[in-house]
Amino acid sequence: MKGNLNILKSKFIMIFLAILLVCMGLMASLFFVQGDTIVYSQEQMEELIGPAAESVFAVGLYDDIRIADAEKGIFLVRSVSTGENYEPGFRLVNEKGETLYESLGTRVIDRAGKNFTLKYGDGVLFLNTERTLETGEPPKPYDSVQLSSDYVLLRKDGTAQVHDLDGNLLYSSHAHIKLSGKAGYVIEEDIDGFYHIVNMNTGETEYTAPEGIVIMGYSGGMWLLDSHNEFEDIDIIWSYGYLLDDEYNITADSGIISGWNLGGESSADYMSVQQELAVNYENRQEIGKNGRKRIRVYSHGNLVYDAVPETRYEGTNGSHIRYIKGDILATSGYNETIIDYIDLTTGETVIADSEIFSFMDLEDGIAAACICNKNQNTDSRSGSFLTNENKMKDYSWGFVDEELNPLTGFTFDGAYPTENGYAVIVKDGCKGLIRLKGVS
Amino acid sequence: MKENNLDKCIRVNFKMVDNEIAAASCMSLFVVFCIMTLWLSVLAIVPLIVTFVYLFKMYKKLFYTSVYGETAVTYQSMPASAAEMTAAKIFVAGIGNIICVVTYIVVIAAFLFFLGGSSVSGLIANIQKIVTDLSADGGIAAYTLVLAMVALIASTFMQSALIFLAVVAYQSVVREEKKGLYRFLIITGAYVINQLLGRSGTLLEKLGIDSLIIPAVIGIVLSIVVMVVCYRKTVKLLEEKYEWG
Repeated sequence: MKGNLNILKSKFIMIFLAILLVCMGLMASLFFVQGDTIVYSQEQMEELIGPAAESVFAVGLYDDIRIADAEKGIFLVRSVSTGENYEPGFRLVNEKGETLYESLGTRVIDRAGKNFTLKYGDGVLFLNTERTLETGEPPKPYDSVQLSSDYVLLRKDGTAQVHDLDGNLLYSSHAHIKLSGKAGYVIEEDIDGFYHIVNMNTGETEYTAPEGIVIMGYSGGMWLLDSHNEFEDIDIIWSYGYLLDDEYNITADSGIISGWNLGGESSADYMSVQQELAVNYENRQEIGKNGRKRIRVYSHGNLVYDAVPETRYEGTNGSHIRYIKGDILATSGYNETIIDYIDLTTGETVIADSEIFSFMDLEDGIAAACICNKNQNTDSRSGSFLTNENKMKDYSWGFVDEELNPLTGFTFDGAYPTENGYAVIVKDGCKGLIRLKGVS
Repeated sequence: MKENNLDKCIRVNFKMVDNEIAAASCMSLFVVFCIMTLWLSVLAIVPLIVTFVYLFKMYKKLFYTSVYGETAVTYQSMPASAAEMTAAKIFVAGIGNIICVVTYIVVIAAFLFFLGGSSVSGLIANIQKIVTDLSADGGIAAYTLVLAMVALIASTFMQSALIFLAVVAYQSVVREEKKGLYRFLIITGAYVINQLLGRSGTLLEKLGIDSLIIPAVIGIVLSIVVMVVCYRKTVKLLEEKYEWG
């Protein structure tokens, strides 16, 4: 038959089929490689972490590890996504790896203490590990969840509820609300776009921000407000902020703020801001060449306020506030990799000129820390590393004592703050859990 | 390996449309770059349209100009059978499409490579993370991706075969007075078959078959069957029209 054709005799088709088979083989090998092959052995772990620590979960044993309760030794883990027996989803395990509760969400979105928000389908799960383990009550699904150290904001079907950590309902609203950072207060946005500060105990609105001004949150004893559309006649959109005290008066020395850090990974007792010298509208503009008004910015440097509010630290122009943990501030000068550690309660420099950046979580005498690698042009070490694992990889990580003396080698690709001696480490893109010896 | 007639046909057809394939691939590259750069994402429509224009030009050259158009005489004087020429055209058209898709994948892989600290292990870790999230959120098992890749390639060749058959059928059976009707029927028929095959998974789901593997396998088998049927029909029509081979 004329239509018959032996395509397998064609050189090009054979090459194409060969490439296709290789691609399929590569994809298959990528996903079917047994998890066991990438799990570090006991010897490899000992070599990696040294004598000052011991391995709890070897690198590669789990795809993701979070410390759920450091005192009781309970962890939230997700299995490695390779191998025949892969089951997606987190589970709670003890130090021996025994499953205490399973079938949780699929990705950790947020954590505050023993509470987690996990991705689950189109929504999220709120997991109170203590309650779930005690009562066996499964975590409930919500549209979204916001966690803080004191409250949980649960949103479902257009209703937002604020609970305390014991599960007691404190406030409920159909408006769009968010936790403020101040005990007893939430920030509410109405349908007209106005922001309000609402007292949860009385249900009363205590302050309404002017049109176009967004209430960002509360930290260091002050409210931070942000705007980027007040100066409509200026052709540059420039976000600026200002501060309010507890009486909702603009603090006299707050000036114009162009950058800030509101709690988050840093301490909620302090607020670090970058302040501009110009303090009013007239000083912040000039007529440009085209007759348009342009903003002239006088950078004043970084400031740290505490809960009084009182200026606790004032840096120079361009100085870098890297992290605040407890009362310790890690800071460095413009474009410098040398870090000073300052006690914000006394203003004294406790450690000067260190090449080591530490999270200074020294409650148990140890801290995760990192150093720059050789030939590193930029130094972006900051508290944001805790939420961005990709940034960690550019540095070498280890653990130090409170005087920044190394406890382990700087052999890890990433490390998270220690909790009761436990620490999650990253090596070759996989996570492991170690326990620093001598800490209980 | 010695080059046979089919190889020569593939080489000739590929030479015919290599510029179009290169241009379409470059435009695909721009589409990805535009999408990745947030403020340029709106402009992605421009290179996307240009990509489709070049793909259309590729199909036109392969399936019309060199068969019925001004260069037809040259190509039909080659010592190749209708079967060889048809297979070569379908193969080259499919490869042209696949090269555009591969361009997307290469750019995304490069992005993941740099995101993973410019290391292969970082790239693999990032891919595995994406697959894990897909597996967990969408219930997609990792190995179905391999099946999906084969299904995509099979459907690409099937689409090329379908377009070629539509062109040949239109040129062969259409009489002047009913040209508009035939054009409508052929284009609608080809579109419906393509849509039915592309949505076989959804149809199966509606029939109560809740599986990720079965639709992919059925899609592959259907694509191959349709491709073979289209190929044979195209060859038959060409042989009838030109007394080829």
